[in-house]
Amino acid sequence: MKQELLKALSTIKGEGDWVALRHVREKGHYFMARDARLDNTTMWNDAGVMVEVMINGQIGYAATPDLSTTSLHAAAKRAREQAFAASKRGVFTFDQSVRPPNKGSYRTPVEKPFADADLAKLTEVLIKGTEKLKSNSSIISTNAMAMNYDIDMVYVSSNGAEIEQSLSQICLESLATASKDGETQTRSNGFISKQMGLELLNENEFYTDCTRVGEEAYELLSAENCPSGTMDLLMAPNQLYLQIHESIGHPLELDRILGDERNYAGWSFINPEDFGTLQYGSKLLNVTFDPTLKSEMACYNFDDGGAKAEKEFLIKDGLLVRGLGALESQKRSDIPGVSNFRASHWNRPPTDRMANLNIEAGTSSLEEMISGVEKGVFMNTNRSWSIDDYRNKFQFGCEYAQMIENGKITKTLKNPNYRGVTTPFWNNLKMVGDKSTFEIWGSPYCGKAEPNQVIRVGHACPTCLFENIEIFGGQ
Amino acid sequence: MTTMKKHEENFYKFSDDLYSSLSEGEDLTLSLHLEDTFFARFNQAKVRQTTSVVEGELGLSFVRGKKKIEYNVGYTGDREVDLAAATVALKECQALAPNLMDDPFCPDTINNGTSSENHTATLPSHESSMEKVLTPASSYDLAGIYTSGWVVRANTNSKGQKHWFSTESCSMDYSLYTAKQRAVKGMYATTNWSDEEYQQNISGQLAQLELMDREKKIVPRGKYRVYLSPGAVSEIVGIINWQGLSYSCFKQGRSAFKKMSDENLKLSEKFSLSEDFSLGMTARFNNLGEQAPERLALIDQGVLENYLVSSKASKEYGVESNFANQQESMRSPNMSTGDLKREDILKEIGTGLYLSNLHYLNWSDIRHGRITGMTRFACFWVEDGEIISPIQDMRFDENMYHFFGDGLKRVTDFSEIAPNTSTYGHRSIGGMKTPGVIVDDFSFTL
Repeated sequence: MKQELLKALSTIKGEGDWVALRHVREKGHYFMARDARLDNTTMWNDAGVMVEVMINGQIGYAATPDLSTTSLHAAAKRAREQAFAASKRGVFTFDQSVRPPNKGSYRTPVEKPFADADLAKLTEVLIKGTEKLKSNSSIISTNAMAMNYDIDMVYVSSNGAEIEQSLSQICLESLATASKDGETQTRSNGFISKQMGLELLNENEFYTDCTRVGEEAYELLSAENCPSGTMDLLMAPNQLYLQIHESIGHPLELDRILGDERNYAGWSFINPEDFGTLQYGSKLLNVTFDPTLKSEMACYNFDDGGAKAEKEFLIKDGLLVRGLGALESQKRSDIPGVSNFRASHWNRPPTDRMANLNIEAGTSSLEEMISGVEKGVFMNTNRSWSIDDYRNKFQFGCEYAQMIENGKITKTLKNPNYRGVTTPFWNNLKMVGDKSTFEIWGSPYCGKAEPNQVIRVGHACPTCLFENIEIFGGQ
Repeated sequence: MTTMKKHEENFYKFSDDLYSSLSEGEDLTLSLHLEDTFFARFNQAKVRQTTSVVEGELGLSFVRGKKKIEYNVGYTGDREVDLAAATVALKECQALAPNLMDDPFCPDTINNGTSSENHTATLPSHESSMEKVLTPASSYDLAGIYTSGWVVRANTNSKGQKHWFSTESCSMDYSLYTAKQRAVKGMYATTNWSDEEYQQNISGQLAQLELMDREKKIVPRGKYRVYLSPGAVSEIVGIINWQGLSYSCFKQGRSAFKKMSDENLKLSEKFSLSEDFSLGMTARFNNLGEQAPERLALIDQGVLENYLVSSKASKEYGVESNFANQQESMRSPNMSTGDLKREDILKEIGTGLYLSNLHYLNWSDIRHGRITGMTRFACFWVEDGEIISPIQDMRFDENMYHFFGDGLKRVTDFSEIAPNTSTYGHRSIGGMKTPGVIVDDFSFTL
């Protein structure tokens, strides 16, 4: 594909001061088993090209699924006309420095390619998974799902960029709903999302985990409601990753800080002068943008603007030092950023997006954290999330929790929730788990931007302990 | 022949070609999405990004006996290219299907008839649209997106069914900001662009924007009497649409309305909600080409009348299908109006909150119908029927059995259309129609 794009580029590069072509092909599978039968089998294979043309410091984008020379020329013409019209009222005048001429490649390390899988056998594993989820007669509904994305991207530009990247991403979910005597509870595995092949799905481990999920759904039926009050909150990585996403990731996006997202996803409580001065969290908080952590959902070597991706600290010892913004936003804001210019597919332009955003491991073992709690709740697995458009006031609910009293776990709790405000919350970070508690999570569903784009993100973190958190239960 | 008619005929010919590759006992349904859209994104009343998208997606729904496979491929409009891609997909389906377990609830492929609707519009050219959109707002801080172009939804199957729906429109989804960075939200959507109407639309928002510069009030947590504008109500109906009225979700224990069924609970007599295709914003046919009824009462005067039932759920649970889509979500919701006149809204609030918009709603406890979310944009503190000041954003956490139940005091005698401006994956069509409501004791928690 690279040679085809380079050939096409040679015929259209005169359309602007700078021209690029980004070709994306995405193939995928989605298999859902429900209640011991196959419920949904969906596959997809879609490709197209985004043509980018810079005129007078403005970049126009035109997408087409038709790879013929005629179609690419037409797209380049559209992009040029748009860029020219926009240049009379552009928000900023860019130059080619925001599109570095890098050359290179990336490929996800994969042991078992999805493309080679015995798909019928895979559906049988999922069906058997639902049988394991039905741990007893109170389980009224069971789901087991596997989904993958194989993405091939080629990016070439008139100033010399030539980048080829192939990503393999996979998601695995198991879920059981239990109901008895008017009480209904759902438990899941948290929706595992990784960048790897089908080696994620170890058959025996999957069945064991499905059994656990089913048993915990049943256990919740007779659990006490989560108590209400201000107390310690011990948060497992399967919930903490979404807390990072919503209350660190989104507010640090430079395009939000610059106001691009104000009409849709929202603004940010962060101001440009906060970089280098704001104590975002306690001194135990270290947050990194890390596109290099193997198996995390959003590993890559180059972003969709061609910039080289490297690990960077965003928050160091609690201090905000860097934003989540790519070269265009860095140029506009004069704030240090990262290589996170990402598009959801060939038919959307790149914007500042999260990729892999992590909390670095600390030094406390899980036992040390539990033993340090006089009264608190240990929460697992998100079930509800909401935050304001400045990313300040949040509320989260979890599937499963345990009471901690006098340094010991004493009982299971249902309907656990907590709410708070971003920087006070992170400044209440009391202990950070060590590497033994560190887990890699992620999500294929981060929504943002106009036109809208869903992008896949990774978040890795240890278990963490927070103090003085407002916790409450259900009805 | 118009360009759209050519697209339609080409799709039918393409479908027939593909159906000739089917073997005995196999059926195929094709769903087509096509669009030609221009997006211009704005910040500070200037252009941030412009994107034009020509795209197509073809969904193959392959059935052999009780085996069913969905396969989505790109659709370029080039018959040779598309047929090659679709044939590869079809062969993969044919190879995989015999090895899959049966889905006992796989819907039958039947001929659901023929329909064709084409709605055209008079819109500015892409290049001139940026000037038209920005000129009336150039002295203000504006952020937003202008979207323009046509969208097609079409469907055929191997039993002879043919449905086609195309629509052309534009929308300017925007917000305006004061120097203190306080905002109001606006939307101008049309099939016939008018500079004058657009100018009036902006002017309408400016009146509220002036109020936003007053000193902000920090309202403490607690219960307040509130007015939820049609825009705020549309956010609530939007979250209710997520698993709320799906019959499958009800049966699987995940519907917020389950308590209404199980415990025979009722909402307020003032609350009625229907699936209403007479609004004319979207096609009645679903992904199987089944034509939903023009109007289906879901909640009628507080009583749960119907869940949305797909043909698959119909087979699984032994109830009649009302030809809902696969997700069993509302495609054209319409909430009934009441008798509260616009000029009486502030008087009716008395002392409380006027909420124009809500943000980031989610079920905080779906089984008990509890929803959390934030206030956003133009929201005001009202005292003795007068707007006093804008408010600091507040988080609510409230039960729909309260705010659409005994807490629902009045419903406006007017409603407004909220067009579906979502562009995740593709450009959406449709929208919903909602009135404003007055609710007592609405809970704010942060």
